[in-house]
Amino acid sequence: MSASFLETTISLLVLGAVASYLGGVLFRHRERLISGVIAFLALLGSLISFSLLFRMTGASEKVLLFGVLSWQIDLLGWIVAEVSLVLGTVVALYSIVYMEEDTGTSKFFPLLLLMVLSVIGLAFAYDLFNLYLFFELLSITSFALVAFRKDKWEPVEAGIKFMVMSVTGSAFILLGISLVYAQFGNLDLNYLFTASGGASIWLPITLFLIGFGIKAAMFPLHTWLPDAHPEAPSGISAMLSGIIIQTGLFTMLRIMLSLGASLPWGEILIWFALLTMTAGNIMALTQKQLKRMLAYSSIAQMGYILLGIGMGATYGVASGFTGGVFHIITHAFMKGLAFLCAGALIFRLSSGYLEDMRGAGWRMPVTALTFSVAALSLAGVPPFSGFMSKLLIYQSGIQSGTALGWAGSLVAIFNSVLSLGYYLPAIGVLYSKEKAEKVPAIKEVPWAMTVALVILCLLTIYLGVQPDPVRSWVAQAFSLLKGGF
Amino acid sequence: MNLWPFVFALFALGIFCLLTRRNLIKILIGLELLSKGATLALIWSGILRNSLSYTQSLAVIAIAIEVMVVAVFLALVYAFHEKSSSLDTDDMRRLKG
Amino acid sequence: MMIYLTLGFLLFFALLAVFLRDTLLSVLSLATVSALLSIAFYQLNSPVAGAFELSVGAGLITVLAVLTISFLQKRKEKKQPGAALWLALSLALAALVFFLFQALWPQVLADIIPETSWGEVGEILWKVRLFDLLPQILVILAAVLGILALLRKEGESKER
Repeated sequence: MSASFLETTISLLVLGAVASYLGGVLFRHRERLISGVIAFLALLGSLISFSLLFRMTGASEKVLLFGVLSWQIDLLGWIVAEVSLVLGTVVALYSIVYMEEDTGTSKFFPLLLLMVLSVIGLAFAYDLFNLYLFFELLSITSFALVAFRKDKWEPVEAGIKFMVMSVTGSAFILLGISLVYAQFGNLDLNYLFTASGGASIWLPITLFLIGFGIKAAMFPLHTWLPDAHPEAPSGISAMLSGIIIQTGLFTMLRIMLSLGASLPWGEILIWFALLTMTAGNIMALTQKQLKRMLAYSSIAQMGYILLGIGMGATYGVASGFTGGVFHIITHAFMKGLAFLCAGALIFRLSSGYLEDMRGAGWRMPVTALTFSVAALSLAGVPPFSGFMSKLLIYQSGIQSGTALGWAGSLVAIFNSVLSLGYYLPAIGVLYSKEKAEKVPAIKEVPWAMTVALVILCLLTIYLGVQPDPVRSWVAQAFSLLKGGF
Repeated sequence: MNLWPFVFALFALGIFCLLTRRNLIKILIGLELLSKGATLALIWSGILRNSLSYTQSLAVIAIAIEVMVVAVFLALVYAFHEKSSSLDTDDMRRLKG
Repeated sequence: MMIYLTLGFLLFFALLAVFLRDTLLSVLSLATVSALLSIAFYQLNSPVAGAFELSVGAGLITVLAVLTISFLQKRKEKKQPGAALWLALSLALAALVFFLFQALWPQVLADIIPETSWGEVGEILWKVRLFDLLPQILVILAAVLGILALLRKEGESKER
């Protein structure tokens, strides 16, 4: 039963990718519209069929798809994949209008579908090598999408930087897989969980930490992110910041939980978390371009997620894991919203600099209002969703009752205050009395884009006011885990 | 017989190449050396576990993926050359990570 | 041990590939590295991976890289050293590879070349690890779309 819903989801995404490409190529004059609408419908259909899967997920369960593809579905993976489908659907709707000046959109939308599909694969695959293949799928789609506007200099350069670091990471992961195989003779994560107890496997763990850490933008390995995220088309920035880097972290978490039970990796994560968070926030303070600022803020927010998971792993505090993964959900929607708003402003103003956006809020009320919600939520102001997930993370540090836990929570709270130092000025710029040169001539963006913004804005507010069904699902997902699954 | 030193030597050389060279083709060579090291590691792990057929099939897939990555990288190199008429990463200074 | 010799040669050519100043020469060194790696695979009793590495790693990737380099350099109309020199160098490299192959092949055959190897690997690829097929196809699809997107004709995209 559950297999058939998952099969529908996958087939819709794959067929959607092919149909969207062919549709765009056949009807060249309506390329963007045809391939965009096909992609959007495919995503919507797979979102519906994937949501129906929810009632059947719980503790991990093996499924065989199409008679060949064996996956293991559980609630935690379902949550991550569902977030990526929701975000992907909204981004597809948004991009139909947003990409109006671009050529080659018949390649853009299929790549977006494949990117979403790769996240689903990473959420459910339980064989290390199969995970690696989906990881490569994720990487290749993101290289092509980051460098998609290849007629300009910056996206190509950002794409090359991203690709060099990411491929290096993949090679590390493959080496780690070989080392694991040499030691255990099996790549099944369930098997490894039972077999690895007490074995010294620090080397493969370190390699996985570096390989996935590059994708997850952990502090010393983050240097590709502030280039790649702002230079991608805004819809893709939203996908990358909202779910792709978190997927890297999620995959790492799954492997660590299966393999590294005997290692102090939780503490390492806490230290990396504090560094990542502080570095991201301090660099965000100095940015003059809106999307670059948001990209640095993504690094800072990754710090919070790492901190929650590190607390959970080190001290066994349930609220740490819950907070970390709940922050993945809330961050996906609020950061996605923030990037889409930035894209909407750039769509009208043709400039990404904050000073060119002075007073734009009066001319684009919906965009400015939703951006304010996103920015306040990102800074952790109640009653928005970012506050609820950050609260859980602060709690976990205090509940741990240790010096490091307390210190971690205090640094995190200090960082939230620090981040207000750049979010509030950004909102202030939009609502400033004095208007920038181009501002008086602009109007609100077309309806398809505002609908996308409003959906994400409502999700952000809803999860802040009423966090409970979702938050308790996350808690439940973790209580069901045994090893990585 | 122990081949791990060769694997790590290839990795070290690849990383060295990535960090010190300034030409995109050299960077490609660095990435390739990393991939070759990883493929050798796969085969060697199969010998250690006495299940060569299994790791050979993994290696075959890994090599196929490697080509795809190289092809996308070369497409990016081409796009870069279109913009800058050079292959030198010192021309990559517009963005500051 | 033959395998150490092969891998020693491999590391030497890898060093050349990193340190040679000329890009074309270093790509050719990389091809040699690939060829030596495939010989190492034969010696390690993995003929299937060896064949793949030789055809794809040494063949396809080199062709792609050399095509890109020559295409880009022609457009720049940079002065190149004579074609005869290149021909001679490539022939020398090919001869070296051929020699090594000749030297090593009989031993491999004499050793334990498992006759079922091809069949077994195929069996595993198509039965045990069939679930790798879907992501593999998707990676290829994504790479093709990505290359098409990156090599599409120059269009004027608005500053955004």
